[in-house]
Amino acid sequence: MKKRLGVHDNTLIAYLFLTPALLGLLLYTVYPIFGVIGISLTRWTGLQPPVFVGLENYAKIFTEDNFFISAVKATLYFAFGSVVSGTLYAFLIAILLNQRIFARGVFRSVFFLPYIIPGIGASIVWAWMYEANFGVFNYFLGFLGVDKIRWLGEDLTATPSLIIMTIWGMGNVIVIFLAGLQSVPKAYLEAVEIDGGNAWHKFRHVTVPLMSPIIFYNFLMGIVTNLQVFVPAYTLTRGAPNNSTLYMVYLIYREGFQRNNFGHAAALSLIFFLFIGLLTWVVFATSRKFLFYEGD
Amino acid sequence: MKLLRTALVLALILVTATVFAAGQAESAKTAGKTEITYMCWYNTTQSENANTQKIIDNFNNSQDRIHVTMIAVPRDGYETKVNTLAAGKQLPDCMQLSESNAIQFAAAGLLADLSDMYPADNAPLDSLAFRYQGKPVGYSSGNEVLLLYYNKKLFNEAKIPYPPASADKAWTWEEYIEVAKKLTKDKNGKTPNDAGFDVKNIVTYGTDFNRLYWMWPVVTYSNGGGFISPDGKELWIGKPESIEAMQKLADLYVVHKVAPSVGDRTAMPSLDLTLLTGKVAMATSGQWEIGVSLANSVKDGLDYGVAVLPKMKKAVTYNTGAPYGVFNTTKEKAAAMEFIKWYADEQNQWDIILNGTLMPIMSKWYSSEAEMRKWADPQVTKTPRPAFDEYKTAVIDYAMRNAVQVPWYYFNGYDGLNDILESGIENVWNGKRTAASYITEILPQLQKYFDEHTR
Repeated sequence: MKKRLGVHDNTLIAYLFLTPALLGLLLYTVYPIFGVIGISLTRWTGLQPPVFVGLENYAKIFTEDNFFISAVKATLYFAFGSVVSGTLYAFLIAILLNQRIFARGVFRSVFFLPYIIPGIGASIVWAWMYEANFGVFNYFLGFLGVDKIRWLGEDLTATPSLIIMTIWGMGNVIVIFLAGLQSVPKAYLEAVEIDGGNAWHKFRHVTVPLMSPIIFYNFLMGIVTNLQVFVPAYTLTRGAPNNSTLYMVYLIYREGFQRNNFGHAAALSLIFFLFIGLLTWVVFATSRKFLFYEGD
Repeated sequence: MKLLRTALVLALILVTATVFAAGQAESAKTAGKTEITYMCWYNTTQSENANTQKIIDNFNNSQDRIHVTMIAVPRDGYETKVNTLAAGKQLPDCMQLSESNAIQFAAAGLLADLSDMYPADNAPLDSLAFRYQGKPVGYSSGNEVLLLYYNKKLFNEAKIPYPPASADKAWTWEEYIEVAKKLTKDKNGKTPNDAGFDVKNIVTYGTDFNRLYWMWPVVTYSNGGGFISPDGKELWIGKPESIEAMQKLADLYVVHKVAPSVGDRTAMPSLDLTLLTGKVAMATSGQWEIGVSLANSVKDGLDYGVAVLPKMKKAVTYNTGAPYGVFNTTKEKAAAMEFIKWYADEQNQWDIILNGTLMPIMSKWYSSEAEMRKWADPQVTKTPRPAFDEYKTAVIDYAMRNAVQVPWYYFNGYDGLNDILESGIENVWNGKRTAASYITEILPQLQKYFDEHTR
């Protein structure tokens, strides 16, 4: 067979191998996005054919929707709460796990383990621990003489309880920080020592700036992931009490699949998608101020 | 060689695409019979449907014209599944419907008119019909009403007469609170009437009045108001009588301290254990508790009684029961109706009727005392249930004469309306705000939603 195609032949095969993945992307990601945009312009109960209503759903969300504002507030509270405290917690743990301590490997595994435990199973166990009358946490509080706290039953404590549960599961963040810490060149740390600095100076002037890309990455990924929180709301609280845990994705799910309001839910998800995109862009734009890349 | 490789890769892709595009399995057709599908749910395990499957097998074996296949689906996400099937035009022929969206399906034109399913002289009770535009689109699978259960031992110890077992003697709300106060005990044995009553350490609550989202509005009807008018045309929750009723209900906990907070109540175990261990002396719940929970503790010494709910201005209870429906998309409407009728026939539910889980739906079982005894007299049924005389007046007569339907029998969109109503209601039950301020605040949203759904 004449090798007429030469280099192009390999490229062709490469494209052919990519086809299933591309098809999947088109079919399961791009097409549904256009579908959602289309559905958001209709009123559709799922039981009857959709009715085109233009931008009515969007107008309703911004003027009448009873749950939109509280959902946005609750989601922002949860996302920033868990990302800020989670990042700090993970960083601290990573620093501790970077020290020379006995059975360090075991500790590292223990802190990473929650990340791989299935979310729903863990949620149910956490629900039992948070249980007001028989749960573990109130049991120990009893020893301290503190009144029982209704963790998941009170507005004030519901989202913080879910945040604690989320932070517990942030094993991946710890591992990423750990990898980052280990990549800090020892030369710089020694330089601080030589200049008479202590551990705090090392931390503030070497470790943190060199880790800033990683901190940024974890922060950004954390925000994007935690804004889309769903499992705790669905398995533990169902939006109660008083809509303090009615997070956006759970609201979208409820409106669409349980209240048969697909047009409204699609509009909500599009707005939410744009919101996350905007937030991401803002975080990127302001990142230049605090990001430090080695070699800059 | 390159061509061969290309061809191999192409073939691989084609195979992968075909595998992923594999269609659904074809359902096996049993030769000659009319095939219909029936969908139902299970709460936790599919084995719950073993009984259902047995009943269906009975039907299939008892005749050879119709063959029914059961589709069992988890209760959680049941509505989602039905919506997906509806959108994909793959609805079953008939199914167990959830009370709150039966009328929504009817409004979408999905449910068949069941007017000719029963002959006029042998039909279910009228209160059990889900109606859309005047036509029945589903009949409840059981007749369930709200009742007051109480622990007889605690009443004996306190030397208080039992709650009345007939609607014409129903307690007024004030009498109810008085009795509840006498029965509420803190860890030192003091009642709310005594000085030094320790609110933080209540050992026995005089009563619980179930504040579950679909149950509590019964008090609004009792006070001369309501949630939605029985003809479905007006929203009544904003009436002063309704708000007053809601506040009185909240005050059981907030003011009188005779009921647990909603949070404490959710932490309590099932009704039988709650009564048996004396956590509450009285509690309201549905008729099904007799079979579902109370029977379990009788052998442990639970001596309970059943009574009518206390009244505010008139003696009222709620009735409900999940319906069976037939879809309009079915090609075998007659067969589906025949199956549903057979399935709903009490003969097939007889065990759970006898043990008190369900009350029968056909009016003939309520037509005379002799008929009633067949399923309600513990000496005939040989199951642990209340004595017939008490049960007849407190439950059967009560259900026949004093029951109003939960609005989901006729209102399209109960869940959505309820989302609004329940969104901040905890603050009312906890005393953080008054019912009046809460209802006034959400009434415009409620009214808007209501108007949109009664167009």
